[in-house]
Amino acid sequence: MQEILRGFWESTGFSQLFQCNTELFGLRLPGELIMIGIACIFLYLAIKKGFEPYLLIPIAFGMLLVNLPLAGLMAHAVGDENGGLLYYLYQGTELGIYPPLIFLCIGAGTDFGPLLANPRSLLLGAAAQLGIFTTFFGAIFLGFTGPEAASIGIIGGADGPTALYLTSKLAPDLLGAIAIAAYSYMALVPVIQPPIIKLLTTPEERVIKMEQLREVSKTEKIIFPIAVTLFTVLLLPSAGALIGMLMLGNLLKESGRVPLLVECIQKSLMYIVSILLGLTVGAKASAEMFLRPQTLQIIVLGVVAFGMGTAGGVLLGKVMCKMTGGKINPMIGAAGVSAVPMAARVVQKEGQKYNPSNFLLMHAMGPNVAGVIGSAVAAGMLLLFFQ
Amino acid sequence: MFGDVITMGDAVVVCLFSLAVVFLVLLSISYMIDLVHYLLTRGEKKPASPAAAAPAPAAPVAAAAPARDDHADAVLVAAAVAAYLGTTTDQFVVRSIRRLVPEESPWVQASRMNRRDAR
Repeated sequence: MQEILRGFWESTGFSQLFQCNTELFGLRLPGELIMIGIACIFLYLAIKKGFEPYLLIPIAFGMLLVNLPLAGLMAHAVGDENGGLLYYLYQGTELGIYPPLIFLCIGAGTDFGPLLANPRSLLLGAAAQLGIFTTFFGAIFLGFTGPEAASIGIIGGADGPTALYLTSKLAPDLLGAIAIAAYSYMALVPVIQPPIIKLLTTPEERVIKMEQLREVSKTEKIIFPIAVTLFTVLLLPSAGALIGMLMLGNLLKESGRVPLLVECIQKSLMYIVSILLGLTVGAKASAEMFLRPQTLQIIVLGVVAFGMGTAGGVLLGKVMCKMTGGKINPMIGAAGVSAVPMAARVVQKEGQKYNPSNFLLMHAMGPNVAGVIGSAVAAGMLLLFFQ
Repeated sequence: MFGDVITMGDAVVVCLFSLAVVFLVLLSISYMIDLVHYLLTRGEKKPASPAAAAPAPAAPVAAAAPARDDHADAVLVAAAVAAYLGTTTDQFVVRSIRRLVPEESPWVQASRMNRRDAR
């Protein structure tokens, strides 16, 4: 009887849960238990505080599942023995399938009208990619390898799917930490950006009202995704998956011919892929991969990336403000980091704080969607260098 | 192109070259948008300049206003009123349609509606 009880106990996860088999800063710790605690904190932040709940809940639950001892949900297939459920679902992330599908959904939900009405706002989307490259440089300085530094730098693009796509290709071991950093900071955009905007702009610049945008024709909206795909993918084939799917989604929407497909993409597909992506990304945050000093470095570098991206956009906004004789409010540069539409909303809110009759939302949407294209191009460049 | 180990010099090259390509691509797209807009609108008549309009101040509004189909407008307004009142268009007669609020930017109107809905 004693033998049966001991056998049963050893077959349960509880027997392994308190084992100190993870070493961090020279201490041996119960890694799985700590990770379950961290997953519960993320679940609390997502459910109670509303931080990116659509992604953070699946990510946190994936983290919880993968750290349950003996469940083997991420176990690789060995011989005739099948792998775990999350291992198979993770293939969609590892093979770079889910992030471009998310881009398809984003494209189907994006209106490029404000960008087409003010094409120079694309430059603000380019300037905001400064965060990616300064952070890449910082990560190299801290001793990360080239592919790891590129994956950490892409956090500065403030574009979750792009970060996951690049990381799954270049540094899959860092996927959990980078996903947590990217989505956490995206949820914190309303906290991170306003002080940087205030620091870099004068009170006079903050109250600038911008002229109404011109009307954009349907034909322009249809030509745009086709022309961008042709030009960008021919120039930079490594950005093909992200740009191609983004523009396909947008073309489906703007064509006006396939409303049922668009509805399916915007709603059902978006949510299905979000669940799979979040769950499998969370499943990469096992104790041995997450509880490392590098994770802390990634968290710090991530906030630097967001800050530098915001600063880059605002600084170019100031230059454009001077060059146009004060017609551009430099604050819209902050929306150049993707984080659609959160960053544009932050600019709108900040604009109204200083001038309640100022409506910057549509002006900020231009750089905001330009940031999505910019971060995809930057990811293509980094893939070109390090894949 | 680069391996796992990368020197600081290589990192600088990667940063500068990549940032330059990002700017180049987005700047090219912005000019491409201008080109498409130009090609699509070059056949259209431009609105008369203020100087040209000055000799005929009596009818500037009529000249500037785009041609509208009044009957279509009346049908649309009648349908909207019917939907609002929960009735049909044969239950009332539209005798005149006039704007009650001053014209303002669609962005301002959209933002106001957003704020109203958020309450």
